[in-house]
Amino acid sequence: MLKSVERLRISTINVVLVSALLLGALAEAALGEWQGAITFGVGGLCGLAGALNARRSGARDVTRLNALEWRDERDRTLAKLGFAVVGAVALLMVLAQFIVVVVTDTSHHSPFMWLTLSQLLILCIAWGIANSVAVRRG
Amino acid sequence: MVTSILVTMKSEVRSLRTAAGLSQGALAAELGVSRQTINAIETGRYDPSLSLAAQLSRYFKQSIEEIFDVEER
Repeated sequence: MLKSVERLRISTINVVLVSALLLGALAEAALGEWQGAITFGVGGLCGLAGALNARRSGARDVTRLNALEWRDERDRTLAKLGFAVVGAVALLMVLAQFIVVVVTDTSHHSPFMWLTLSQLLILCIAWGIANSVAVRRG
Repeated sequence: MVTSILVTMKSEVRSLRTAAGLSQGALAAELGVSRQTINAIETGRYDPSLSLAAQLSRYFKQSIEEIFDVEER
C-alpha cells in the first residue's frame, strides 16, 4: 500500500469518535437543530484534523498520545500510564464528591447522590476487572 | 544474600546505528516504530519489549546480550 495512504489511516477509536460526532451532526441537522449540528460537526472535523495531524511521520509523541494515535509499543505503554493516572484521579474525585454529597445532602434521597454512588461503584468494578485482566495477561 | 533489583539497561543501539550509517528515523522506519522510540532506547529512557529487542537483534545481526546489557545500581 502507498505510504501516503497508510499514513491517512486513523485509529479505530478515532474512527468511532469522529463518526459518532458527524452522525450526531447529521441527526441534529435533520431535526433542524442547527446549533447542535454545527457543534457536533465542528467537533468531528476538529477530531479528524487532530487525528490526521498526529498520523504525520514527523508528529511528536505527545501529539500522538493526545490524539489517540498510537504508533508503536512505547506509545501504547505511555498511553496506559496516562490512562492509569486519569483513572486514579477520577476514582479519587468521585470518592471526594460522594463524601461531600453524603455530608451535605441530609435527605440521602437526591438523584445526585445515587448518580455519584453509581459512578463510584462503576469505577471500582472497572478497576477490579482491569486488574483481573492485567493479571491474567501478565 | 540480598540481590539488588535496581538495574539500568545499557544499549549499543546508537553505536550500531551510526556504524550502519542510519538516522534514527531510518532505523525507526525499518523496525516499524517511531523515531522517538529509537531515541528513548538510545538514551536509556525506554526499555524495549522482548519482541522489539529481538527485532533489533535480527536487524543488526547481533545477539540481544551484545546489544543490551544490564547494570546493577
